[in-house]
Amino acid sequence: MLHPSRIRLTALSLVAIAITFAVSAQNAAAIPVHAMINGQDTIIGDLSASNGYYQNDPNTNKLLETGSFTLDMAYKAYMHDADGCQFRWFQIVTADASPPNYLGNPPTVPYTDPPSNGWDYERTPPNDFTNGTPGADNSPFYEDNPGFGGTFDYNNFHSEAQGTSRTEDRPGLPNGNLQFQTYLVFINADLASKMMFIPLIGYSWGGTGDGTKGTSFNGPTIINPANFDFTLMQNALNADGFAAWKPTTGDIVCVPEPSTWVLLIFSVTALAVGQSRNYARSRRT
Amino acid sequence: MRISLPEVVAFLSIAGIAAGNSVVNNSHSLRISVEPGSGPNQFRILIANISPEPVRIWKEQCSWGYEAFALEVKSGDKPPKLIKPRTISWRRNLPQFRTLEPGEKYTLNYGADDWPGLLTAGKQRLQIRAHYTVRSDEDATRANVWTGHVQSEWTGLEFQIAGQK
Repeated sequence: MLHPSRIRLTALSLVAIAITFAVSAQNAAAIPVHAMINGQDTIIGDLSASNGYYQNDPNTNKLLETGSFTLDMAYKAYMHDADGCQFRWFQIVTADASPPNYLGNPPTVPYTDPPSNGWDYERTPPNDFTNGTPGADNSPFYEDNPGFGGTFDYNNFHSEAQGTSRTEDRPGLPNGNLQFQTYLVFINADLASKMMFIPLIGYSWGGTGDGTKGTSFNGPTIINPANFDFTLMQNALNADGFAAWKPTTGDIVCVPEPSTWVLLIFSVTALAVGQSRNYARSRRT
Repeated sequence: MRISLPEVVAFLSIAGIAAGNSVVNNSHSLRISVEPGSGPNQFRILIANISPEPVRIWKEQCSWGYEAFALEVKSGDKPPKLIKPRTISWRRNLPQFRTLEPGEKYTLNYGADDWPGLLTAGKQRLQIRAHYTVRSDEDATRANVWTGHVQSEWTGLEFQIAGQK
């Protein structure tokens, strides 16, 4: 049997561990994600998010933020890359004491992170925004489109088979305030052709620094659709190369692409021909 | 940013500890050197894979790669100082790596103004030594990138701040 002093010590240790964890990261429990399907408000999955200091940073001035969406597999037809139906992430910055350079100049808040073709520091070689190779694609989504390559490739950020899509960032804290809003959004081929996307749920998060280290962090705080600020989102899109894009509302729809239809028609035709040959053969014998 | 000699020693000690904890490669896989650049006040750091196997290194487009470099600078009889590259406001920032094939060299071009504290005033001949330090952590393990510390030989470079003799 444990001595009471040992129990007390163990309890105190557990409390200390709990406090340490509480001050180094915050988590938002799984939040239902709503979408409109055939005009009906439908829960299609859930979102988990976290924010805290990035503990492995030797300079102790970075945050570590994560977001993870899990689709209810009853709605798996809405996550289908082949038809352009995707759950992506849209991230904006609403306060920034020291924005990085985009095409040689820091954007003013609100702005989209990353900007079209990426930050100057993401280029190869870095900061060569005239001749350097862009470090991001030109879609407004946080993760790059499939095939762009690198860690940010959309394929590395989601699993259609598992119905998951995730995001992550480890931004440096400036001497002052830095605030983000990150949204899970839906896009399909039709919306993409109109340069539109449907935000489903968001969360705000951020922190402050003193120029050498982080001094506080906040969030994630869930932003429900009723509180979406579409003007803020549009201003963020306008700030760094995405003025043609628009956040919108409405049903999420996944219509098979023409190539999928061709495949479907070909399969049905092949099946029908096979059946008819079998029938003809059975009549002959 | 100026750093004192005791901090240099502490920095290199930590680097040594990190190298000791390396799980993917050893310090003999990479060699770094410093060369004059193509223009005034410019220089290069070359990082070469001298091992018979491919070596992964963090890209300089993310904080893991960019902040891995430091310069040790000597001028005349003054004690050496360690300086870090200009601070970047990282926004989208996740670990990314590139692969150096056996014998491959990767060149990073810098201007003197990329290193706050490198130049003080006027024309200067400086002795520069580059340090490359990558911590061993779960990201490095997951990406299987090189971890440890290497430093270049001392190289003499001449700089001049515009408008001064």
